Amino acid sequence: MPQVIKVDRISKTLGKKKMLNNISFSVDRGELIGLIGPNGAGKTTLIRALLGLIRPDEGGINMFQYDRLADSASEHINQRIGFVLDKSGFSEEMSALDNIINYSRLYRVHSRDSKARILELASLFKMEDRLKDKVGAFSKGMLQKLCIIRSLVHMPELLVLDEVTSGLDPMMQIEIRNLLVQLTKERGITILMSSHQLDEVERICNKVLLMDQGTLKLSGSMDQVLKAQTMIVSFTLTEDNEDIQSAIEEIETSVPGVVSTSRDLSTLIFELSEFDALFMIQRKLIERNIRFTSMNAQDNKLEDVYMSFYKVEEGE
Amino acid sequence: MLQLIAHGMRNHVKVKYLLTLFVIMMIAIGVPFFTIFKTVGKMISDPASPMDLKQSLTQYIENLFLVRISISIFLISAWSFFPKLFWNNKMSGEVEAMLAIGYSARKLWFSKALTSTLLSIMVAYPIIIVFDITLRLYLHYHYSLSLAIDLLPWAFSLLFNPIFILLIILYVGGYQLLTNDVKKSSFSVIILAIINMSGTFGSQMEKIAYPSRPFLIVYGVCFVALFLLIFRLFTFMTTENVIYSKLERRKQTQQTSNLTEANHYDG
Repeated sequence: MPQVIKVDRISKTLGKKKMLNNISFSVDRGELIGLIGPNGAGKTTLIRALLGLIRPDEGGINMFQYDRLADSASEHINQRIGFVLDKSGFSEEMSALDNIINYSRLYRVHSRDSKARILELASLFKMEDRLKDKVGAFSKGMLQKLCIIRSLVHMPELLVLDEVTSGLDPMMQIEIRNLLVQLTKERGITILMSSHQLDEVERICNKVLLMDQGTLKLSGSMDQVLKAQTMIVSFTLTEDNEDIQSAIEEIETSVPGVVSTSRDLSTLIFELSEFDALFMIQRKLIERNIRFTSMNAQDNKLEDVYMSFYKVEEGE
Repeated sequence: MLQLIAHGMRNHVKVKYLLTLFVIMMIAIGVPFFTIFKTVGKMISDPASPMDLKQSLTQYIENLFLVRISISIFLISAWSFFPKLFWNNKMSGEVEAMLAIGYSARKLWFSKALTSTLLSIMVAYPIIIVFDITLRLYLHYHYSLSLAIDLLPWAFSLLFNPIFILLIILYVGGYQLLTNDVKKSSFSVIILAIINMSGTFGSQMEKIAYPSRPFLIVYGVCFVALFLLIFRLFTFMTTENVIYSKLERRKQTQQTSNLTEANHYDG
């Protein structure tokens, strides 16, 4: 897969605050990357650095094989990027169609071509009947959709989205989420999106970047990130058994991947770092004739990874 | 650059607004101007007045209009477009979008100032021409006086004054882009006052409003001062400075006001 973005140890200090601290990651074509982290983590600063709005103090950014920090970079790079930032920048007194046509001219797209593209995108976003309405009358959700249409009108290869679904109602969030997946799958567009909606990132992204205080704390494919999190499994016992305590001790010493065990009345709880440990525990319990009515294994959620990460941070 | 100018005109200016501004300016300038002319007209129509005095008076009126009043027309019309192009609450989104599209902060700055000046030219040129033709026809038919065409006042009216206004808008607009502060707007009014006051103490009537030596000196000094100030802004005008002074300052202000509000409720 050709690389779209390669960020190499970038740092940026503004005033006394280190907004970005030695950040490195890469993005391949067709990936959908979720950028998560608390407020003030540096997500927007990173997005601005990718868009060329700020210049890192150290390190380098390579986009589409061009040096982002070179003087002529914008000519080669920005034309290939679409973006949605926190403010739309649309003229409220003009229609949605005129607004996007005006922006497409800035991308040097002929108004005849842009009109056809806008109509196509509007039908994809189910808002073709609102194109002639003034932007001032649009809801936040409609405005976000319009921003995405604008970001696509020049047929970019990369979309950079800053909290594109924040403040939207659940239906609109689902609609936009589906559209982003569609854009990646059908048009091969690479998407980097920052979001506070962890379930959304987990559902649609195939790669995650977790930032905090300007540092990239965690990065990798969604599977890797979720697997890195321990898994909680609980067994509900049918009867008390003298062997239970010794079984727990045996499991703790002989089963690899068991992080901790605990007993709560008739429930045995295991924290596992490896999924395979689950089957070995089951086998040990059966061998010891310890009967259980149910077994409950919680799926790892990105939220758990996020929360456990901050628990560790607080603990430290 | 041309694309940015066209974008500014399409997005922020309507023909109706231009026409309304034209009519308002015609009335605002026409009423006091013809009141002055009425007083002067008595002297011109007096058969006892010498011909030289008549010529001086009419020349004074034309010079007053071409040199002094025209700069105010340019400034007022350019200023009326300034908030649409440089300063309003929603402008930061447009500025950020254009920078993210790949236009440099300097291009954006120049194009906005040029758009503002071009629009002021679109309003001011017709006003100047309509007034001058009306004045000439009036003098010709009522007093059989014909005004000579002096190139210097005309050069000020149609060339130097718009350039001067471009410099003022560049300075105030650049400062606004970098700091999100429009306090520098008072600067343009001060410069205008200095220029209009300069050289008004000429000995001959027609020279009072004429671009005489003291006037040219003050005008030239203001020109150079503006150039230097703009050059200083030019060195600071980078995308990052626009983003982190204009946009971030606004964000910080919002956060501060939110905090104040929260404290207020907590209290």
